[in-house]
Amino acid sequence: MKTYHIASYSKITPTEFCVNGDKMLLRNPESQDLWLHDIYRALNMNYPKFFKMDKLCKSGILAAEPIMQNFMVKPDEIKTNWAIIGMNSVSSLDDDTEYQATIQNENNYFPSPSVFVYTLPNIVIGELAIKYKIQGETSFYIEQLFNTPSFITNVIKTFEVNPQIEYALCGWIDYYEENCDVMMMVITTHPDKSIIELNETNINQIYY
Amino acid sequence: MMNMLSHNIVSPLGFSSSENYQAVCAGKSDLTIYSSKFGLPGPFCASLMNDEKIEDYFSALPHTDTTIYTRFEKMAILSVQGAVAQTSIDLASPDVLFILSTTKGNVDLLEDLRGFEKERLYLWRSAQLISRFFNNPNEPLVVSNACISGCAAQIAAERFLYHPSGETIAEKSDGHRTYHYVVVVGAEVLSKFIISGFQSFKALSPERCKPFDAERCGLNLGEAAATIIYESTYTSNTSAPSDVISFHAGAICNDANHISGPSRTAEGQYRAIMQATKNLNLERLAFVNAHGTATLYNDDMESIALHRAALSHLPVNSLKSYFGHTLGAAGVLEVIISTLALQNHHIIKTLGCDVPGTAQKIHVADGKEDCSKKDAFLKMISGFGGGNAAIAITMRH
Repeated sequence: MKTYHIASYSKITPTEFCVNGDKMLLRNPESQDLWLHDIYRALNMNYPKFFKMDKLCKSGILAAEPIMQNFMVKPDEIKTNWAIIGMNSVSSLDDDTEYQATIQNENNYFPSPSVFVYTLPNIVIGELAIKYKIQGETSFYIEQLFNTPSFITNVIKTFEVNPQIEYALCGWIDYYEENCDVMMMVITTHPDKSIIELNETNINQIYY
Repeated sequence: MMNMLSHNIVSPLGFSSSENYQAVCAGKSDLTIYSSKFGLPGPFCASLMNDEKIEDYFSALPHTDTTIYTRFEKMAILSVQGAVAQTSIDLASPDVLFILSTTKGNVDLLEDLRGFEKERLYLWRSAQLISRFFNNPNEPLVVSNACISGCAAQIAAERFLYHPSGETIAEKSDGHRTYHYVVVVGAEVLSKFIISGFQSFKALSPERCKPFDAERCGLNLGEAAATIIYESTYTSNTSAPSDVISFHAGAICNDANHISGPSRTAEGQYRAIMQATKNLNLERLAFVNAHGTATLYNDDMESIALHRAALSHLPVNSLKSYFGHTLGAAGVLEVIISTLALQNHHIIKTLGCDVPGTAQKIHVADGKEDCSKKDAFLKMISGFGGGNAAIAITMRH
């Protein structure tokens, strides 16, 4: 029987950026830039596309970047044995509000495809798939609150029905009105990659 | 494994699956050019629900206060009611899970809340109101995967149904339960928000769309709600219909290529088809119901996927010229219409396709093909975010 393990995990809150439980960056209240841009610089990333993205996608990419490093030894390799599972509560409401402002007034009507495209919650999953070349199953679910049993169920069911899937990049990716609530992790069936078991206690400890 | 227990479609073409199916067979389409609607600056062609009809049908439901639900929620509730009315199951049972498929839910309220609370902008809130209308005690799940949501929701449904291997690992590890029935409801309403966005992408056809036609020039949007109630094959104790319709398999694969454009090699769609048909005798397939949005790139991509999967000899159809692209409802609605077609040994013609012209040659259905000895069909669908899904549905007499 397959067992499931957490290979790495990360968290972004409005004040902290943590990887595998270690605080990597604390928000500097003096910083003139966006908190997400401060994290981008701290990670020494070079991904110009990042700056075109909405905040939901930016937070997903930033949370994934450090935990994907160990799996990017061959950066051009297509990953068909990986899945991506995203969940949140607000869907893309931050972007919906921004887009609505561009069409609200007849006298100031300027709908833009580059804003509209982000008014779907699963776009962050698409951006993650492109960045890490993941061509397996990708899905996005919405629930009122982060729910540990539901999260674990969605992840494990994805593995159970897709025998070719060995890894899943999964997370709760919520961003609304400057409130960033992001937890991402790599879950695998390979025990040798494990840092901790996938179970309710561990997920609760990481998330809460 | 799961079987289709009942279904319903609420669309401008009717309030039941059979009404919709008959309208399609008669070549009806409600795609209309609206010159001034939703405060949009220009005309657009779409398939929109008649408000008065929604109100008439909704006020006929028992114990309903018509003021407390949004238009989106009313359509979804009517569709679930239409599906459950054909069965003896009790949606208030803890054995039933609701899965809502939608891309934008009540997004029209962003312009004006019209007296509704701000919480109604959350998809989970709409889902709760829909499932609680039927007194369902479980927390509903929302699938929001852009245009593939309706198929993704059916693929998710199967995972939550009871399986005889006993408790799955998931249940053991966290106490999460499985269900005997899943109600998959897909719904979408249109508004200035959605139409202006597709206009900004220059994706809309000014008149009725022409899927797979050489002259196709874009898609139409449509409103609909569609429901399928699936039951676990292993707990089936309800009176089985004469034909047993089974969800054979489904798969989702990402292109990892572009967030708003299909892959030029159809990589994700091709692999989704291969996975969904892995254990299926391909001789059984009567037809392929494609996404067929009538955008240049989508229809080309699908022709490439079918070619790579060696299925380009099969009749292919698209239902978009009948209903428009109904977004979160599309995957549910189109599986229902295709199921009825399969049961009637009929392949629906692709309205509006006069001269096929796609990157790879495909056999666009003209409605005259014989499929009397076939008992399966393949559904494919793809969308923003690079997602592609395929579902194989089979029938047993």
